[in-house]
Amino acid sequence: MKAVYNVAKYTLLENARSKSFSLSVVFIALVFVSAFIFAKLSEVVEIRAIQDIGMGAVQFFSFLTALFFAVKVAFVEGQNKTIYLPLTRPVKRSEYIFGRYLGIILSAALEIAAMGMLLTILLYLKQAEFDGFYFLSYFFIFLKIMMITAVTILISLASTSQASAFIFSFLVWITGHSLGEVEFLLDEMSPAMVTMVRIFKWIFPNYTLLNLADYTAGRFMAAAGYLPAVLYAVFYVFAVMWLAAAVFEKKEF
Amino acid sequence: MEKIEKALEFRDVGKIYRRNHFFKTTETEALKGFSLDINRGEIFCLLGLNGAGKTTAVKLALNLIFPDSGDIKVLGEKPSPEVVSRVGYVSESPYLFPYLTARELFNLLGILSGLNSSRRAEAMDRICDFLSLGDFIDKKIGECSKGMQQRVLLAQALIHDPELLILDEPYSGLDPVGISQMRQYIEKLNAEGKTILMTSHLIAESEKIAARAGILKAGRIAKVIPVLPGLLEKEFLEAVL
Repeated sequence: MKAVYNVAKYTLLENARSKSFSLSVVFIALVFVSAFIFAKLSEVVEIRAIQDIGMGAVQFFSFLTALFFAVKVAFVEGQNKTIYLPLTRPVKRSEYIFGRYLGIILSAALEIAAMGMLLTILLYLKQAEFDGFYFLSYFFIFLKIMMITAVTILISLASTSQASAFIFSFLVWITGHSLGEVEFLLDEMSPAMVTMVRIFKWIFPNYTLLNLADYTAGRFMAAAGYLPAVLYAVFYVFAVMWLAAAVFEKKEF
Repeated sequence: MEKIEKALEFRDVGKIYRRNHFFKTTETEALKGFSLDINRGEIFCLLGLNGAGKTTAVKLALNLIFPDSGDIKVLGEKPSPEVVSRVGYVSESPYLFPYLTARELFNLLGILSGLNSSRRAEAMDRICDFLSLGDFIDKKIGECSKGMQQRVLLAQALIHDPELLILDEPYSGLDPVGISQMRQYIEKLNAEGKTILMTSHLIAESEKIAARAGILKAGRIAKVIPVLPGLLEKEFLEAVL
């Protein structure tokens, strides 16, 4: 556990100092300001627009940075041989990869908190009213980032190029967000397609279950209770990271 | 207890790299019937042309890749994370973590090597003094010069005071002053009792410090010879051409 903690600590330190981290915070600030300028409708719709664009941007940019860090850790560092430094120490490979994962999601949490604070200040200046639902949305964005980070690490460990690691992870992100929409089309599908969709729902992260930032889906979740969604995310992360650790154990560098 | 004489033993080792592309797998035989012994306390130089298998042999000893056939013993044991903790490794180029300072890197690698805080502090003092790292220890590695990064790379391999030091092309990218300094460091470390295995293309430099040399050709040891002044280049060319 000491190794996991220290690898995570130094990963967080490294990520916090990297340019991609600072750049994403600058970008998000620009997105917020744009939303602020362009949402010149009635006051209520303006606040709603800033909130929706802002939340979407927080999610998208934290996804991009998590994607970048995960590919770097699981693919790029193997290619440029930086990974030789920790792996030639008496540390279990599984501990190392879990430590790296923890470091990335802590960086993501930091980024979401920083961007969320900025958005909240902007909304406060617009005299928006906040409820628990609003703050809980950030936590659910974090759960999604936890899931995609684990998936990206697994994909990167199995990839033969950086580009394919990015592309496949991006496709998983898109597919995970579309699974809920596909549900509405099941009646129109052949039995084979329905089976395929059901299998996909087990393999891909089902982000519809975590879409708290989406108003309608969020209200639906509020009624159903949050715990099953949180448990689903945690279980999914453990399953994927267990698989990633098994792949990493056998991987040659 | 029986005293182990060999620091590193390869017995008939074979290694094939397999690369999967969508519908086909390509295979490259990096080592075949590779056998070599490295004695404790010596400086041994592994020479060979590009692609001869030098780095593959090093990676097998470090447990970074796994053999397809044959046996490997590192300090008398099969390669494992435990035995690798008694080995220091310096890679071909300074592949380091650019956003960490040297002190942070040494601290992390010291922890991963199982050193407690007082042993880490003592080790840092020792290697900073040995390699004259001075104030550079608190500078981000990415902001250091290539020569300084090479020193940081050597320092990280010494943090846990290893018995065997593996140097993969240690002179790569260094200017003549850097090469001379690196040679002095290697000689000092050997004088302290460390076994050194180094791979290199630089025959003249290898000749200055190695006791024995192994010449690799197409994944096999073509010959192992004692290094005698002025003869290594001739022996090398005879073996590889």
